[in-house]
Amino acid sequence: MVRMPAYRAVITGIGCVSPFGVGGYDLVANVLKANVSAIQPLTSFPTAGLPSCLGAEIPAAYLPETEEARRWSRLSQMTVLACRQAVAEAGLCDSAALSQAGLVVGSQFGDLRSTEAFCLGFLRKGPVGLSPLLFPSTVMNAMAGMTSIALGLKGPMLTLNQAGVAGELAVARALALLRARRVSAVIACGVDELFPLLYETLVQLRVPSPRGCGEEVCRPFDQRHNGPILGEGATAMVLELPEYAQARGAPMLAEVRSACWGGIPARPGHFPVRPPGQHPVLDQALAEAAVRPEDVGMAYLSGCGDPQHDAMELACIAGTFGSHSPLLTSVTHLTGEYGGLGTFRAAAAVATVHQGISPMLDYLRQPIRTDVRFAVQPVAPPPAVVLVHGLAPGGVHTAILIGRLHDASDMAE
Amino acid sequence: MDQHYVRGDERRVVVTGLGVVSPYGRGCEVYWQGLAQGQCMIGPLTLFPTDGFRSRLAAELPAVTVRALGTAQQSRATRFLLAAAQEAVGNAGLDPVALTTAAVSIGGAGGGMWEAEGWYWARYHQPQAPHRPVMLRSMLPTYQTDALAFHLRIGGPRESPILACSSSAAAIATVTDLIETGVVDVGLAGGVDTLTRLCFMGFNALKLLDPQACRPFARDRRGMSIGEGAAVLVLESWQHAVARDAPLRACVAGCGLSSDAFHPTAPPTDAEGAVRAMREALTRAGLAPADITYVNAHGTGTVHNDRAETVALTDVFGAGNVLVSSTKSLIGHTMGAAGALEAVATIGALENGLLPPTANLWEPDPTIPFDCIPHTARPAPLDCAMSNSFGFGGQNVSLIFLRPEVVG
Repeated sequence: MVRMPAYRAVITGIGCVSPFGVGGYDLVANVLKANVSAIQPLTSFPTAGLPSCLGAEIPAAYLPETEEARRWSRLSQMTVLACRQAVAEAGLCDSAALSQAGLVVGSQFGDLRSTEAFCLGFLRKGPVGLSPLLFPSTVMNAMAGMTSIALGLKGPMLTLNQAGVAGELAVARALALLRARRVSAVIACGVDELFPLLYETLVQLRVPSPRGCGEEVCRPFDQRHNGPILGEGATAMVLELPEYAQARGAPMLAEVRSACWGGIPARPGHFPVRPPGQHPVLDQALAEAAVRPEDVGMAYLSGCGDPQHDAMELACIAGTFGSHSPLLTSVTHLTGEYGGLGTFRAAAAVATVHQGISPMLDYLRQPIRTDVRFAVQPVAPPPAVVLVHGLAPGGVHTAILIGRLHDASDMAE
Repeated sequence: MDQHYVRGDERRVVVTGLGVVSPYGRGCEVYWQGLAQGQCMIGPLTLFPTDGFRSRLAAELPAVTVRALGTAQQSRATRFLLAAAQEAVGNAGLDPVALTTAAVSIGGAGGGMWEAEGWYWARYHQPQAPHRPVMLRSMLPTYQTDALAFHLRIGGPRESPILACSSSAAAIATVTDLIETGVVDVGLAGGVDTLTRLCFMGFNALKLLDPQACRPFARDRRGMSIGEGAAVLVLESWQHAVARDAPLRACVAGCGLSSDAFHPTAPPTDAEGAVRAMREALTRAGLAPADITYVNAHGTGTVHNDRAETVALTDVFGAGNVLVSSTKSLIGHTMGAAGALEAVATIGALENGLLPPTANLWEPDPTIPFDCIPHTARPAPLDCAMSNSFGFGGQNVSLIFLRPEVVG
C-alpha cells in the first residue's frame, strides 16, 4: 500500500547571500560542486592578538548600495537580498500573492552590530548620543520587519532566536504555518553576521578553533577537530502548498516531506551530556515523511568541528539509522559556522536531490566514528530523500526531510 | 487565506494553567488583584541611573520579590520565567511526564540583556580590567527558553519567537497551532522581559516615553511607560485536558497574525494590518464581532498607537461596540512579555466577570469612540474577549479567549 507523507510543501525558490556571492539555486549548487572553502583570514576587522583569525566573510561589494539599502543595517541588507532573490526565483512577484505570504527568519545573534553602536552612542555622549534610527534594529525582528516592508509581505511574520539551528527552525516553523493553513506561501530565511565584538568575545570564550592550541582549521567529525570557524550569510527559500504552487505554475525544485523539532534536555549553552536512547524527532520526521531509514540517502549534519557537538550528533544518527546510515556530509568546512546556516544546508539538500550534487568531506582522515558513512566521494545516483539534521547547544534537535518531487516510485510500501 | 482552517473539536485548545511574575509581585492571584483594584505600579526607575532622560519612570518588580525568586546566578529574566512557569504547571496539575513531549514557546525581546549591559558598560569604562564574558551567556532570548526546558525537562518543539512587543502573544498563537494540527497535546507558551538600559534608552530616544505614568486613550497622552515581568500559559488540547480532569480556565478560540509591511516603528493610519489580525482571529474562532464584549487593547499610550488601534477597533467592531481597556496603564509596557501578561488579564476578566480598568485616564480622548473603562474595574458578564498585541516591525497578533462553559 502506498503511503503519502502526513504533510508536505514544495520548495520553489532559493536566495543566498554568502561569501561565495549572491544568487539562487545555481549559486548553491555551484558552491557544492566546487567544494572550495570560503574560509580565510578575516579582512574586515583586525584580529591581531587573538588566537583565532579565520572566518568566512561576505565582501562589502556583494551587498547593495542603493538608497533604499542604505536605510537598512548590514544584517537587514543580507536578509532582504536573500529573500528578494528567493521570491524572484520562485516567480512570486505578483504583489497580491506577496501580500498574503508569510515570513520566518531564524537568527542566533540578530543585529548585535547595531545594538553595540546604539549603546556606544550613549556611553560616549550621554542621552544626546542615542540614535533613534538605530534603536529599532536592536530588536531581533528588525530584519524580518525590513524584509516585509521591502517585499510587501503582509502575512504572519516570525523571527526565531536560536543557537546553532536557527535556519532549520525557520524551515520547520514555515512548514507549520502552511500546515495550520495560515498561508499558502512562506519564506524561510536563516541569517547571521560576523562583527568584531562578537568575534572577539566568542574567541575569548574559546568557542572557535583552535580553542587555545593547535592548528586553526574546520574539520567536523574528524579526530583533529578543535572547534568551528565562524562565518556569516543569509539563505532564504520559498515554501508553498503543492496545490498553490501548481496553480500558479511555479517552478518546483524539491519538496519538504517533514520538518520536526524538539528538545533533548541539556543545560543552556551546552550539548546534551548523553544522547537519549530514543530520538523522537528523527523517528517522527521519518514517520511523517512516510520513509524508512534506508530510504534516506544522505544527511547534512550541523556538526561544525566542536568535539562535543560532533560526537553527540553522530550518536543521534547512529542510534536512529543503525546499519542503514545515510551518507553524512556537512557544509561548515565551506561556509563557516553561524546560527542561521540551516537554511543553506536545506538549500544544499535541494541541490542534492535535484542534481545529485553534494559537498565532499575531503579533509576527513580519521573519523570520530567508523560505524557511520561519510561522503568522501561524489554521490551517485542522486538520493531521493535527504535529511537535514540539526542539534544545538541547549538541546534543540531538528530533522527536515527533503525529497524529490513526489511520485509513486519513491513512496514507501 | 480564503480557505479557513477547520479544527476538530477534540483539537480545540484550552488554557489549564497560568503563572505570572509582575510588578505586583509573584503569582497570578496577586496580579489579578492588582489589576482589579486598578493599582498603577509605575514609579521612579531605580535599577539604573536615569539622569538626563525625558522619562525616569517604569514599573519595576519589587526588590523583595526578585530576591525571593532564587539564585542570583541565574539571569533576572530566567528567574522571572522559571517562577511563572512553575506556577502555571503547578496550577494546571500537569504530570512531569506530559512535559517530556510538550511544546514550549517563550517570546521576548531583551532576553538577558540586563546582565549583558552590565558586562559591556564595565568593559567600556574599565577596558584594562578583566571582564568575564560568561555574563553574556544568558543574553539571547533563547537562553531563557532553554533554561525553562532544562529545568522542567520539556522535550517537545521549542522556540523563542521575537516579534518585539507582540512576541509572547505570537508564542501563544504558534503553540495553539501546534496543538490544533495535532503535533503536540500540551504546550507552555508565554513571555518574559526585564527592564534594560537598552529598552529605556531606545524609547527615550524615540520620544515615546511619557514623563508621567502613561495615560492610554487620554487626550493628553504623551507616550508609554515601560515595565517588566513574565507570564506562562499551559495550553492543551481539549481532549487531553478533559481526559486528565484538568482545570479549564479558558479556550483559545482563535489567533490572528499579520504584518503591516509599512514602517519599522509606526503603524499605518488605516491600521489595515491590525484589522486583518483581528478579523483572522474572529474567522478562525468562528465568531462574529458582536460576540466579543471586551478587548484588552495593546494601548501603549503613544499618540500614534492608540489612534491607529482605535481606527482598527472601529473598523472591526463599529464605534462603541466593545469595552476596551489597557492594562499597560497599570503595569507598564512589559515588551516581549506583554502579550502573555495581557492574555492572563483577559482570561482573568472572563473568569471573574470583571474588566480591568485603564489607569490615569482622567480626560479621555474625545476622538476615541470607545468606553475605555477609566480608573475602576467594571463588572460585566462576558463570554468572549480579545487581546491585541502590536510590535515594531509592523507585527500584529490578536488572540480570542472564551469561557470554557460556553463551548463545553
